Amino acid sequence: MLKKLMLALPVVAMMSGAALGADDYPDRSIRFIIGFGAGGNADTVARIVAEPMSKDLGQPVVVESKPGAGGNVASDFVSKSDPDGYTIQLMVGGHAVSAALYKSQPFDPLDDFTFISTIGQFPFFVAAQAGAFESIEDLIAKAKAAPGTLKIGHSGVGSTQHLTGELMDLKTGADFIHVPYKGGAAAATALLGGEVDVVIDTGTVMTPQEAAGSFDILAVSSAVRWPDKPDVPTLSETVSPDFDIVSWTGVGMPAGVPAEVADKLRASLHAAMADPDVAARISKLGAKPSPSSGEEMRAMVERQIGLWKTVVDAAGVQKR
Amino acid sequence: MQNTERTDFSLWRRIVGGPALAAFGAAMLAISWSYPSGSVVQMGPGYMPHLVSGTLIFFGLAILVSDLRTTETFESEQPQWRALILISAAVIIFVTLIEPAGLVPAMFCAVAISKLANKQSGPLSIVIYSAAVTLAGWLLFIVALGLPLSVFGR
Amino acid sequence: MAEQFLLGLSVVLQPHVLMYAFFGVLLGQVIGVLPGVGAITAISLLLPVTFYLDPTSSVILLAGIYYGSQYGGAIASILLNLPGTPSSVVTCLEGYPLAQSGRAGFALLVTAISSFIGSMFGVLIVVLAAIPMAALALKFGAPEYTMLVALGLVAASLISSGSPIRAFSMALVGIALGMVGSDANTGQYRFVATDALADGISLVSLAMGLFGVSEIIRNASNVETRKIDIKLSYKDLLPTRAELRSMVSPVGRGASIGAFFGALPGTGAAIAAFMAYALERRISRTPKEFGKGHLPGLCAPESANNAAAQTSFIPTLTLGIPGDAVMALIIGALILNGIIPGPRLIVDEPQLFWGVIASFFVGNIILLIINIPLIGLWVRLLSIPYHRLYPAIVLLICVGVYSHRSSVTDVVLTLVFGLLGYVMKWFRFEPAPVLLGFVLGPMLEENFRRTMLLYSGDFTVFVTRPISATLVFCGVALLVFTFVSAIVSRRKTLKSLKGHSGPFSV
Repeated sequence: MLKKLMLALPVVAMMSGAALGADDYPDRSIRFIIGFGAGGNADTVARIVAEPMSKDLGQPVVVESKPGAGGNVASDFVSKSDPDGYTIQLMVGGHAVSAALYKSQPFDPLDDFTFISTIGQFPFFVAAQAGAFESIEDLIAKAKAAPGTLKIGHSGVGSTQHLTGELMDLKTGADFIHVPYKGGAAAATALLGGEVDVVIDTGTVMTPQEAAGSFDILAVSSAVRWPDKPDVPTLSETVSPDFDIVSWTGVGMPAGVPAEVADKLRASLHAAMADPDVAARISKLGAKPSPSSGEEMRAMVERQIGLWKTVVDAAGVQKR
Repeated sequence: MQNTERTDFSLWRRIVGGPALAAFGAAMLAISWSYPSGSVVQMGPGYMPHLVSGTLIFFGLAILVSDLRTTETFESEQPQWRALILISAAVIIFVTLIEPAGLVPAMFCAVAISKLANKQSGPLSIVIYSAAVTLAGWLLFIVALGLPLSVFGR
Repeated sequence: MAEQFLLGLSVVLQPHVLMYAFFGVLLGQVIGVLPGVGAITAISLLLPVTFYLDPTSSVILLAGIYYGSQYGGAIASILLNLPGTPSSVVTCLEGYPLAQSGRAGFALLVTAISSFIGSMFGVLIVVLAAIPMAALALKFGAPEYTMLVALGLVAASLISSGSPIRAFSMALVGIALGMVGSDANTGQYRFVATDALADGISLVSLAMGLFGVSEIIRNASNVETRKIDIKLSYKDLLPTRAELRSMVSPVGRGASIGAFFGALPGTGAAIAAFMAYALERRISRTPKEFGKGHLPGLCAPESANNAAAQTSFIPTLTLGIPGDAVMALIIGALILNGIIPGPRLIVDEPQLFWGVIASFFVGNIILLIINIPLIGLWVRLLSIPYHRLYPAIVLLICVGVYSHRSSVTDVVLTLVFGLLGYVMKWFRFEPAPVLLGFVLGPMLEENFRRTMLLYSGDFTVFVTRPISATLVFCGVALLVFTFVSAIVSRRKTLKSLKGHSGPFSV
């Protein structure tokens, strides 16, 4: 009996291997793993694309949250799951930051994943209380004139926002005090109350305050001006040539997923993003919808890992 | 509630409570030993752990002294070893089954084992009961609330 | 103000909007009863639905889930010692003993009334004082939070019935457990044994373990059915005139505390409930009654957490700043609908702003109406013999905790805390201060260190900033008061002992 079972096993394995063919994929629900708790931007982005993808693929794409260690828990889980296309991950800019920030990771941030496509790209904005500074040049000049006095609030040690601030220090020679808060909203509250002088965070955090006239947005971290806010100068054109930080969300899978399956999922994601409603939702969250190829996404992640490693080392950020 | 009775605060309980607290503090101090403590003005990650663990050790010893001298009586309960072990086993089996086997087997086994904590139930009633509770759980969590949990394995 | 409120009412009373309000509070109520399954889970599951709703209905629906869950949270606390939401942990302390003494229906009714009054007070504050409250909230910086939390720890250090040193030790254990995870100020990991602990221990695991699991272990083996008479006649259910009178001030104090803590973006319903309970204990003339089903200790925290649930919308609606993850989701729903939350909301979208606020008013009335008839049903739950009930509770805890963040470590920790909560009673250690330390400890450390960083180590900020100075003064006054009253009461007991022994000794 046991022997029969043992003999049957490879056959079953082959059959399930055959089932991996793109024709049948997907024939059951897909787990869409996010590395952050419900309520964050990542969670919302995942739900925005999961909904149309479920309709397109004919199988539910179920968002599942596995928060922990800046997304590392989820990445570890996904990298070790079966490469059958039924476990996919919402990746964020933090994926590249973690690779630089952690002394060791139980997975390889590039080789253990199949990259599908980016979903959205978004820059960070440098904001101050309305009227506090004339411009970004003024801010940096004042910071240089009195080193170690002006304070930048950011959304947590080791967050992309924090490292963007550190990079600004390194590139401009200014010396800010970097004050950690629990999330961008808490940092924005601190700026409203005047506890810090500057906050670096995403458009979703800044826009309400800018619209209300409480904040002046001084600069954007991307290399070119951001389409939503064409009047905001870039850091690179003003105080720090070549400054280019754009964070992102995207989709990944474990390494070794058959190419047809990956292609089918990518096509479905791109189709979802082509829907004007879906694209509009992504834009409203402050991101530019940016479908890409897997190679493009991988190259971008690789580039960012290199950049963050330099920043973490140069700024002396505590590694974990 | 029925298991309580008014007894003296028995000697072994007096001797164990304080030192257990102190041991917790000592373990905490040992783990946090390598965390830099910094100064009051520039606290490092180790400052609070060192402070808290030190205080716990001190309080633990103080509690030992006061417990040994106390003459108060105290409501104490009979240890429920059977329940303690079987409820623990039920949770452990749930944890081992939930990811590889899925929600339904995990629920069934957890309910069945925890049911054993009470001597009243026979094997057949346990099976029927567990099946019923599992069905109710499935209806509640999967059908009604639609929680993203896998029902049978993956 | 009345005119705008009427505008809001006219929005809510449209049948389809009313339906969303009803559905929201009902779902919230169910979610609140279930331990571990929180409002956040339900709201994020429903987020895609709101893509197709108008923004007002979306927010009314999501908000209803949130404050409805505060109502529901108390039910499992009272019946099963199982905190349905973190903010109803305190409800276990007095509610469960009351239910054990056969007055579960009474406890549920009192809770529903206190919750309703607390909520209504919260709504009133939102209507009348949203903008000044928001301005006040912005005055709370790191020094103020530090002193507020320190004051809370001082005020609450006597939260258990045992000796102060034991209670304080347990608060320290809670503070220690709260340190697990990455240090907020440097990012260094502390006490992180596995990656699953990197984000810290979850409050759900701790509360569910210390209270729920330990109670199951304590009672699972009982062979005899529990002898709890189910009293359901009006006479047993309704509070007496004296009881009603004893509720008035605690409910009022609880509502005020809740409204205040809810409006601060850094604190919320759970802290408000703890503070309200601690205050009642501090000022009570009969502190020995606490822990045995004392009425003020039940209504004050319930009134507080519901008031806080309403006023926590103040920073969200008026400043566009979410105080917690639930509020972040609600802001997300607004943004996705193309509405920018913030100070302009009240001017640009009066229909939405006042509609949402009026929905709180209507939603709470709906909650009260659906809750009172349900009391009879809930109480019947207790007529099921415990040996038939407890395996289902084990199941609810396991699935609830697991679904919270799909972590098996969380479930294992719940068991560990359950064993801890069971064993610690043998040594006369109480679980409530552990939770208090766990909630407040990390806030204290984070804000103190942030203060030091912001003001380059200058301690005088604590007394030069007016709000912080007031809090310092209150803390010192409280310490002095406690000390003096302890001496006075000791003298009194000595005197009365002498008085008693006098005649006999002669």
